[in-house]
Formats: sequence, C-alpha cells, structure tokens
Amino acid sequence: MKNAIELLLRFGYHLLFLAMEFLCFYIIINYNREQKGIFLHSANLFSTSIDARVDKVNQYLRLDMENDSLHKQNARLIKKFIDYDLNSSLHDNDTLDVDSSKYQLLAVDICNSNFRLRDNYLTLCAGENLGITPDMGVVSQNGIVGIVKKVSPNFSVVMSILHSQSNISCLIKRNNSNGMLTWEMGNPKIMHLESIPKHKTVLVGDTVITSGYSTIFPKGIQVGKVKTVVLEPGSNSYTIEVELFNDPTAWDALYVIANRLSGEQKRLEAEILQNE
Amino acid sequence: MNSSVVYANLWRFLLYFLFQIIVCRRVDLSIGTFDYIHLLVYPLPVLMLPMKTPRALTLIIAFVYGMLIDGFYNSPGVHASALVFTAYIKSIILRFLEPFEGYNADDYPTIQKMGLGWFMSFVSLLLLLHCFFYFSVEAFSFVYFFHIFMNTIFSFITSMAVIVLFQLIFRPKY
Repeated sequence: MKNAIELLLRFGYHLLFLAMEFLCFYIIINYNREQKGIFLHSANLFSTSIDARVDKVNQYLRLDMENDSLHKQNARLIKKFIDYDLNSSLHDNDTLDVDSSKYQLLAVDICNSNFRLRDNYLTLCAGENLGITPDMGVVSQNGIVGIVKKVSPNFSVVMSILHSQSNISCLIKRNNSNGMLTWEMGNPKIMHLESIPKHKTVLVGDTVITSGYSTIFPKGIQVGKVKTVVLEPGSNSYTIEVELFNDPTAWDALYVIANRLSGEQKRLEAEILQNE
Repeated sequence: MNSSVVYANLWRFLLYFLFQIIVCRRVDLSIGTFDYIHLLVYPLPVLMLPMKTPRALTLIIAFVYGMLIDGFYNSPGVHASALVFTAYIKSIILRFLEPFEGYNADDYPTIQKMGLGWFMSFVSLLLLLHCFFYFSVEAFSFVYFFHIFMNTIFSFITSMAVIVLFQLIFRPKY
C-alpha cells in the first residue's frame, strides 16, 4: 500500500497529464465535426486492418473443427464405398437393400500409438460411450490399422496389425487366393502374406485386399501390394512380402468399423461348433 | 507578498484571456492567400506561473483555462489539449534551463528576475511547442504537414513578438 502511494506520488503528475490529454481528445473528437470525421476515418482504416488479422487467426483456430467435419465426411464416404463394393460383388440388384447398412463407420481420434515393439497397441480417444465394442476393425483412409481388443467408457485399445498375434485374412485381388497377413518384427511398412498355396500365381505388384471372411473387416479394403514373392525349396506355399499402402508410423484419421450383424453371425457359427 | 503574487497572476490570466478572445481572435492578419498568422498569446500566464507552483496544479489550471478559451473559439478541447501539453512540458524545460545554483525561493519566470536571455529561450521554446501541438491537433492529421508547419512558424514569430513587447512595456515583477 505504501509503495502504491509512493508510486502514485512519483508518477501521479504524469498520469494526470495523460488523463487530461485523454479527456481533451475525447472532447475534441466528440464535439468537433472536422476532427471527428478524420478520427472516424482513421479509426476505420485501423479497425479494418485489425479485423482482417483477427479473421485470419479465427480461421486458423477453426481448422480443428473443419478437420473434424472432414473426418466425419470421410467416414461416410468410406462406408459408401464399402457398401458399394459389397453390393456389387455379393448381391444382385434385387437384394441391394439387405446389406446397405450392415457396416457403420465411426470417425475417431488417436490418443497413443506404438510401432517399435514386438506387440504394438494403439489407443483411441473413443470408447463404449460412442458404441465401440471389442472385435471391431479399425481402418485408416489407406488401409487397415488393427482390431479393437478392450474398451473403457472413453477409450479403447486396439491391437495393431503390427502385433505378433495379428492374423488377418486377406486376398490377392487378381485371383482371389486367400492368405493370412502377419507381421514379423522389423520394418513397420512390410507385412507377410502366408499360406498361399504354390499352385496359385502371385505376381509382384498384385494388390492385397481384405477377404471379409471374418466379422471384423468388410471385404475389399485395400491393404497393400506384393513386393517380393519367394517359393522356398520344399515349401508348399509362397513367402510373400506385402508393402502396406498406409504408413503405420504416422496414423492420422482413423475409422472404427461396426458390423451390425456380427453378433448374429457369431452366434450361428458358435451353435454349429457346439452341436458337433 | 504571497497574496500579491496570486493577484498578479489572476490579473494576468484575466487580461491575457480578454486580449486573446477580444483582440487576437478577431484580428485578421492574412495577406492575400497567405493566412498562416494566428496570434496565440494566451499561453503566457500559464508559463509565468511561479516556479514553486505545484506541477499538478499547473496542469489543472491549464486545462480549465484552455477550455475557457475553447469556449470562445468554438473548438472544444483543442486549445485545452495544447495548453495541458505545454504545462506538462514546462516543468521539463524549467529543469533544462535551471541555472547552475538552482532556482531561488523567490524566483519568478520574468525578465526582471531571470534576465532577458533566459526569458526568451524559456518562452520561445514553450511557445513553439505549443503552436506546433495546437496546429497539429487543429488539423488532426499529419497529412496536412505543410499547413501545420507554416502555421507554427509564422504564428510563433508574431505571437512571440507581441509577448516580448508586452513584457517590455508592463515589466511585471512576479
């Protein structure tokens, strides 16, 4: 308090001067038409330039929302693409409506991700509350990402395709030969396609897609392309290296695929197993 | 002694005020299109306040006095802002022109006390700044710089001449 008074005593004169000048200019601007005109004009020039700047910053801040909406729109587009693929490959025109909403896509953000370990997991910032349940597939724009293993109300943990236990049923698109996609530690962009019998032909550059044989991924999601094909002596199947289309070291926008009918399919399959 | 100083200053304020609004305001010193001469003698009473006047009081007096002048010039705030500025600068100029031994308790900024040279430099510096500030505020934009500059120079010269003449004629003690 004492300091404040001292400060006021020392600078009070200058403050008084500034206050009086401020008052004078207030009076000048408000009661003199000519000066008022000049002031308003200058203030306009000033304020428009400020406005332009603020607008720029605002636009930048809105990018987040923009991004979000694009993410969601993308989800809708990918879903449409999957539906289209299913409809055109599996059904005739008269049963088009049966599967049109079998798959739902959910745009999600990623919280945490790993690709250097033997068994890699990633965490999504969305959980049960948004309808995510275990065994749902996760894809990005360019390929598959993993399978949801555990969910909490707000988070879910995804077993990455870069995992020793990861086994994803895939096809060579050209001739529908079926194999299992696995990963061996090392390059995160390279995976292996196993158990394609040697009587099939596999060419370098062939596109690998998901098979749709499980309830997790729909058929036809592009995964990668064949990089090398080797037939080991004495082996019955090819050793194929697949180069992924997407980059597991830099996931961006992810989508969880919810299969509406997966419960039904699983129940039916389980019944058969029980009966045997 | 003290009250006579106060009265002298009050009279000075009154007389310069009247002189400014009755005479200077109406005198038209324009020659053809050359209309850059405006007599501005009213700042003098503020400059000639005794040196020991509190600085804040000087500011307040300048503001009120300036507003009164503005009342007659029909330009609210313009003269007041210039005069407040001059009053503020006055303390700085006083320190700048302080003699080696400092000011005495009974020093007043007059020719009698401080000498003609000191008085001239004191008043001319302040009056020049006052004129410049006043014409800047009047134009309110440095787009009119030539106008401001010419007004400042010629108004300053004529006003200064009038002020010095008055000092030499009336020879104020305080």
